[in-house]
Amino acid sequence: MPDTPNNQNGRAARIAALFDIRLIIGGLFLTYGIILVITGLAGSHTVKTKAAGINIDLWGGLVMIVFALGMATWARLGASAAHLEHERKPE
Amino acid sequence: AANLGALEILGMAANGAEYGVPTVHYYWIGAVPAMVFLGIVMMPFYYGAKVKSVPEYLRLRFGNFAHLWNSISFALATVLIGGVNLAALALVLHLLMGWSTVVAILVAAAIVFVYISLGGLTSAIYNEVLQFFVVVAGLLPLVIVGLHSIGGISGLKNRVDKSPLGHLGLHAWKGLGIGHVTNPLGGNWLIMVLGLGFVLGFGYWTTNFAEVQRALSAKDMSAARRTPLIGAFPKLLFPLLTVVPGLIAIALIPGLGTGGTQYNDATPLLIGRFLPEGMLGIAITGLLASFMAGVAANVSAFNTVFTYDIWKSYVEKDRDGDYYVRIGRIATTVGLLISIGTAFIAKGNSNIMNYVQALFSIFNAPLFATFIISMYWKRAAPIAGGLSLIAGMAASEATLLLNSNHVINLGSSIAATWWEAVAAFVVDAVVLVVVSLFEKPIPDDRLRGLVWGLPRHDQAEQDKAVAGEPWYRTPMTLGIAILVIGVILDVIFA
Repeated sequence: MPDTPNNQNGRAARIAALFDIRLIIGGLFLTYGIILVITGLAGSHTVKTKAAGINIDLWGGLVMIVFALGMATWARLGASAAHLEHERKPE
Repeated sequence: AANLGALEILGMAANGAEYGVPTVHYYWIGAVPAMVFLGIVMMPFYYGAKVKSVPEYLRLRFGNFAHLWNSISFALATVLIGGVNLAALALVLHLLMGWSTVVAILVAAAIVFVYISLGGLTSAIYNEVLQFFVVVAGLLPLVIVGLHSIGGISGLKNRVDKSPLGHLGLHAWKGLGIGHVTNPLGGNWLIMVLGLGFVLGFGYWTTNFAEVQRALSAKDMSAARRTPLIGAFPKLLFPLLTVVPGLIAIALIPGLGTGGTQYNDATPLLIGRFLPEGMLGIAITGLLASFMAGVAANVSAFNTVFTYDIWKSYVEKDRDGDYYVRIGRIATTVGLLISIGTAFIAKGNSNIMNYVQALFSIFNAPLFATFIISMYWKRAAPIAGGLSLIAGMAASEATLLLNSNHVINLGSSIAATWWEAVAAFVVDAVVLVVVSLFEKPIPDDRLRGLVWGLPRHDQAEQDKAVAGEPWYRTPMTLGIAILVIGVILDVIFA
């Protein structure tokens, strides 16, 4: 990173954290997951059984929500690790 | 490097349906060793050299003749491959939305035009990562549901055994003996290893500068070398998502690839059959996004090579930046229009992978031969460089025509592409070496940073050793681990 004043550095870091690809992926799959769980629960009989009898919307949706939470947790852990790293560096 | 491209999703499923389990060679022989080679051998060279693209390398190494020829043929290749992506995009619209193919191709082109105009390539890496996950989110449920409906792995084996593929369609390495080929692939193991594993595989990965540049943006050389190696791990497993749907399709859909259906239809037909609204939307999103990115990437490559390598270098040299931006816009539009035309050519192929591999053996194979030899052999000279590219391309094209007109018989369409690639490589190499010996050598000083063993004077700094790195993170360890896993997988599926 180029030399910038401290506050700008913090701001850049916050913006970078917001655009962390893990959070974007997590957000996308959380949305997908919620929609799928709803269609899986409220859908017609065809929706529930089309996939060779498996309610794939429901199960797929649940897996996606778990995946999204995993991504978000990873992003959080990564962010705090980077933060610690930043603190430890002598300015 | 861990991308799961659009053509791969549709094409490897088509291959899975037409040739069965042996399609895995496109991963474990055709891609993985080449990615290891890129990481271990080529990356240090690229890292130290001053080149950023293949046309640029050819210009610095050989001058204008080889550069202009390569630029024109590269421009042609991009619109042909762009057309394949467009045809694939249209196929998905046709099969899953019921539109007529002509309307689908035109609508697909219009969507891509808007996508490019809105700057769809600015965040290419983000897009690629997101797309990867969406595509997997659509394909993985499809594979699970498909396998479930057919009675699991053993059910799949039973049904493929009784399908047109038969018993040998279940074994990667059976029936590939020289002189008595009975495998659906239709070629022997030697031509497969040479044509697919060496010329096509190495050619694709070592001259694929989109991958190379991404790796070079890493923080140091060791990280740059690791990039393709880490990408090779998912490649080992992708056949599960691409080849298996093809196998399920050939087992479940009677007459696939004959009469009214194409092998290309394998994955879209399964999606339509098994995925209910909801999951269906995610699968379509993944496919459309990935094909759109495929067309856009090719059209944008066409724009760059046309505007800078052809127009700016040879037609209008000294104009202001705005002028070239304008030319670039025109090139994008024209490139897209030509791609619509080439999409109709691509559409005629029941298995687009046969067509794509034929294109690679015409465009990539000669380029790889000239590139790899001139990188190691400083005696390779300017006119020889250009002539070798022309001769290699002609050799590949001639082999293709002889086979398609039944003058010679090279086995299946896919095996023919291996022979074409080897023909291109051999003829290219012979022309390059023989003509070079009649030319005046290029002085060493002009080859610094371009030929192995002639580093630039300021290069030492960059080649810092990777000391202090734990042994399990070194490129060599990763490379060996990948190859070992590849061999184990080959043995399991032999």
